[in-house]
Amino acid sequence: MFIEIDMQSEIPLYTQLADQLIEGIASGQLKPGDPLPSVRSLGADLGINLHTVNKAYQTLKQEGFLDIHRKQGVIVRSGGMPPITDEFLRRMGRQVKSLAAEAAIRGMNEEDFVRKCTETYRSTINFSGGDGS
Amino acid sequence: MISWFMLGVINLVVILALALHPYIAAKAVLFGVYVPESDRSDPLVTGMRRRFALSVFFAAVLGDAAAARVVVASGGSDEVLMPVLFAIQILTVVIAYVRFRKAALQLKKDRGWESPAQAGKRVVNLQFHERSKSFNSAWYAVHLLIVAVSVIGAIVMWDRIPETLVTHYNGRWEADGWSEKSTGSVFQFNFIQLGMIVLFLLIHATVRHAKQVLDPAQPEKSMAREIRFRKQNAVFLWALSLMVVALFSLIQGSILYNWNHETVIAISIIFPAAVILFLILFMIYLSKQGWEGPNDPAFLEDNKWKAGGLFYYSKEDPALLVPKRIGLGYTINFAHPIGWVILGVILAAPLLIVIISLAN
Repeated sequence: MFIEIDMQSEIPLYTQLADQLIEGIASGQLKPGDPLPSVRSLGADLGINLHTVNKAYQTLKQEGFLDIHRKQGVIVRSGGMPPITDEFLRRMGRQVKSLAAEAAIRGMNEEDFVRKCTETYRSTINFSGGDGS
Repeated sequence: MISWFMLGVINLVVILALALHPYIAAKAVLFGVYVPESDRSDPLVTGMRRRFALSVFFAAVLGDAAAARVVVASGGSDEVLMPVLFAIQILTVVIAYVRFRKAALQLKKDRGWESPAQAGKRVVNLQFHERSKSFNSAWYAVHLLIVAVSVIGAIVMWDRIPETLVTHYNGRWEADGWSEKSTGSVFQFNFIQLGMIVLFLLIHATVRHAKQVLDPAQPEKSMAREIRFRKQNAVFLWALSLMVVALFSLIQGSILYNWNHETVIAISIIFPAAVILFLILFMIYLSKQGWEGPNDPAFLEDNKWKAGGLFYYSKEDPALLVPKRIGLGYTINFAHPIGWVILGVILAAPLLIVIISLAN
């Protein structure tokens, strides 16, 4: 799987990295149990600070998407993905709210907004375990 | 003594390698200056490469010829001659490099050449290092086999080995150093071989672990190309080290079993020339495949290459190894402390071998 980061983007590097890893799991490009490169190796490949990579890995570990073993290194969690939590619903609500608000101001109607969401959801998800079911 | 013909051939190959280096090196760099893609076939740029090659070639050949006449006329031996010739070659290429680099820097200023923006998109593949393993280090078992055959051969034929062994030749290739037959003197070459195998395995590992650099505009294609390039590098290194290890067994055999000395000496003189030719052919093969140099931002940025564009120094870059600007192999990031440690180990290894063999 390819990871692309934009050094000039306003989105922090670790967020870009974490988001793409989650997308990789959702699309099935990363399967449960798949190994990920070490912090050092990925940092060197991307030419970014090791702490940035570590932050992305630690965030994903805390949320339950990755396991970090002393011996096996970093792997995609194989014992089931985390369920929908209240915290997640709150965060999702917040993000969708700001997008919905801006879409409405720009003149997008509800139907188009929902269609866009459905399209995005379908194009991203290709993995039965990724939807929490 | 070894014929003038052979001396001429070796020096000619060295001069050719020095003179042709701008052709051998990656097209993206001209005397340590990055050239944008649009200007790589510009007549001014290609003309500089041609003028460098011609002037180094003729200056070195004429300088060598003149030096050879002076040394021979004054009765100096060829022991003196060889270093003098090499010194002239090095001096010629250094002077030419400095002059042409100046011209290249001027051209950079006139044309406003810029390294491609460092900031921007970067792409990596999470499985890259897994996939670039293709050439297995197990192939180095062939080298170990050669060493094993040499060791076992010496043990089996121990009684045939003479009591005194030639350990040194002078510049006329007459034996002038001997040592007693002992475990140390019989097997010293095998210890050196083992040390070299370890060193080559280390280089093999660095090629595999060096950071991946993919072109964000065409990740799939550049990844396939990068993996192929690394495999070619690994195979090349393997073949080269096999030649070196085999040469040491050959020299060992000639000393122990009295093989035809003339032939062995001839081979060990022609060998470095053959290696250089091998290298030139390999680089030509790479450039025939349309390879213009790595995409690595480290490779492209002029201001991170110090001392006339020879050493990479970047504190912001976490990478320890970056592609050499000559296009083949990797070099150390001198801003990385571990880089200095590695350099120290590589320099210490041959010293240690010499000290150990002296102690024997």
